[in-house]
Amino acid sequence: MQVYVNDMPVSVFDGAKVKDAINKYYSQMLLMGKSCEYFNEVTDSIGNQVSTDGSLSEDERIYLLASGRDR
Amino acid sequence: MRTIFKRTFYLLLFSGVFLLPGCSEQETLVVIFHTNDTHANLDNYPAMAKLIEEEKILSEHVLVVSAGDIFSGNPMVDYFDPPGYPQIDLMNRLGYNLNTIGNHEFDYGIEVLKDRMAQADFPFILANLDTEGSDLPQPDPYHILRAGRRTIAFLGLVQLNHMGIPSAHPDNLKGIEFFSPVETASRFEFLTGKADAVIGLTHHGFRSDTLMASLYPWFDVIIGGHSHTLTLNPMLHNDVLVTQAGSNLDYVGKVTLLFRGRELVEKRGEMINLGAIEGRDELLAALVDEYAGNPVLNRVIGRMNRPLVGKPDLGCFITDAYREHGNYDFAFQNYGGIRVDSLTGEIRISDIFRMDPFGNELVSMEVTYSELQNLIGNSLSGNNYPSVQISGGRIEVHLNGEGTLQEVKIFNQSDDELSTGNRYQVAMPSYIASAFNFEREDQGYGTGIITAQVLIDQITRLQDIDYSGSQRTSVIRAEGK
Repeated sequence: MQVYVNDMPVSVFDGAKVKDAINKYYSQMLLMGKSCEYFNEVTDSIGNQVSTDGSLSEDERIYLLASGRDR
Repeated sequence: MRTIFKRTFYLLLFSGVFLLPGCSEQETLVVIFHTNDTHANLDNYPAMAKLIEEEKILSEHVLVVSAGDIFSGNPMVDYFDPPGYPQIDLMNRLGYNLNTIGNHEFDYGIEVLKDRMAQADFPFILANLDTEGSDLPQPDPYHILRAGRRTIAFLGLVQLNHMGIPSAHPDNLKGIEFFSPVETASRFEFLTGKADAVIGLTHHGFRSDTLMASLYPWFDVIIGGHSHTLTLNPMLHNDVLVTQAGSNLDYVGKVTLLFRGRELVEKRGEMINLGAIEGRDELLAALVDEYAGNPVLNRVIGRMNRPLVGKPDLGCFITDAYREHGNYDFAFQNYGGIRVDSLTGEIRISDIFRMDPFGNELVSMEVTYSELQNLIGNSLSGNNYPSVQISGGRIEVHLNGEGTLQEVKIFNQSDDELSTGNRYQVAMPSYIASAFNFEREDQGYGTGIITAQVLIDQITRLQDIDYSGSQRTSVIRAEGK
C-alpha cells in the first residue's frame, strides 16, 4: 500500500505500522542523498499525535516533527 | 472549604437529581473513561483507578470502556500462564464495562480468547463478524449501558486488512467470517431508537472513524482505536465527536455527555495524561508489581544441546524458523537484528526477547529472482559480505579483481540457480521489508506474528535441539583485474 511521510509517497507492506513507513521514508531519503532530520513527534494529517506502533491505512499521511515546530 | 463547596456543587449538578433553574427536565451527566490499544501495559492502571475513584465522588454515572487491542505488547502478560490473565484481572478491578474485540485480541488463539472473555466481568462486543464456523461464541454486536435513567448504546467494529480479516495471524481466525466495518455500521441506525445516545466503540483507525462520522451522523460519539491516535483536543466531525486515546495506557480519554431529559444536549472529550496523575490505588499498584515480578519470562522452552555461536549460525537457525513457519521458498534475517552472540543450553523466553527485542513482524511477499538479487546486492557491507542470512538456499557474491560487485547468484536447496521466470514466496522481518533498499513489485503483507514469537514457537516445538549452522554465503573474487 502507499502512504505519505512528510508528503513523500512511500510504498510499504500491507499492515505496516508508522515505524515501518518512517524506515522506508529514511531509506528513500538516503538513496536521494538527502539528510534525515531528527524528529520526536509524529502526527496525522490533522495534527493528532500518532505512536510509531500505530497502524496505517492506504493513502494515509503522517508528518515527522521536531519538538515545538509546526508542520 | 472551597474544594468542599466545589464538590458539593458538582455532586448536585451532576447527580441527576438537581434541576437547573429554568429547566423543566432532569439533567443527567455521564462520564465515560475510554482506553484503546493498551497492549497489555499495566503500569498506569493504579493511577487510572485513582482517577476513576475521584471522578465517582463528583459524578454519579461513570462508565469505563475499551476500544480494543488489550493484548500483545508486554511479554509479562502475553506469556503469563494463562496468557492475558493479568490484563483481564486488572480490567475487572478497574470496573470496565465493555471491550470491543480488536485485531490483537485474536493473538493468543480462539480458545484463550474464549477463556479471557469468560474471565472478564464485562462483555466483549463486535458487530462485523460471523463466528458460526468457529468455536468462538458469537459476540453481541452492541451493548446498551444504563446511566441512571439514560441509556447509551455502544457498537463494536474491527478493522479488516487486504485479506478481509483483522490484522492477526490467519490461523487464529479460522472459521470466522468478517464483514466491512463501515458497511456493517449502516445496519445499526436503529440503535438511535433503542438508546438515548449511540457510540461507536471501534477498532479500525482514526481515518475510518472520521469517514464513518461523515456517513453516519446518527452516531453521537465515536471512540476509536487501532491507529494509536492521540486526540489531545477531540473534535466534532460532521457533528460526531471522534476521539482516541493514543496507546499503551499513557493516556485515558474522558467523554462527558450531558442529557436534558432524553436529549443529548452537550458532548465533549478530553485526554488525561496518566503519568501526571497524583496518587494511585495502592492495592492495584501492589498487584501490578506482583505481575511484573512473576518469573514467566524465565520459563525454559527448549534446550540447545550444541552451542549456537556467531551471527551467521544464529541467522541460519532464525531464518530456518521463519521459512518453516509458512513453508516459504526462502527466508531472510538481517544480522543487525540479532542482538546476542550465542544461544547455549537451556533457552528461556527472555533469551529470545534479548536476541530479538525489536518487535518486528514477519512479512510475507512474492518476489522474482532479480528482486532477490537486488536485495542481496544492496545489502553488502564494507567487506562485500551480505548483511542478511538466507534460508532455503545459498548465496554467491561475485566480485571482480578490484573487489567491485559483478553479480549475485542465489541457489535453491537442490543447488540449482534460481530461474528468472519464477516467483518465490519469501519471509523476512518487517525491518528488512521497510528499511532495506529493496525494489520489488509486491510490497508484501504483515503475517500478524512477531518474529520473536516464531522463534519461541520453533524452540518450543523442537525442544531438544541439536542444530548447527551451515555456510550459506560465499564471496568469490575474480583473479586479476
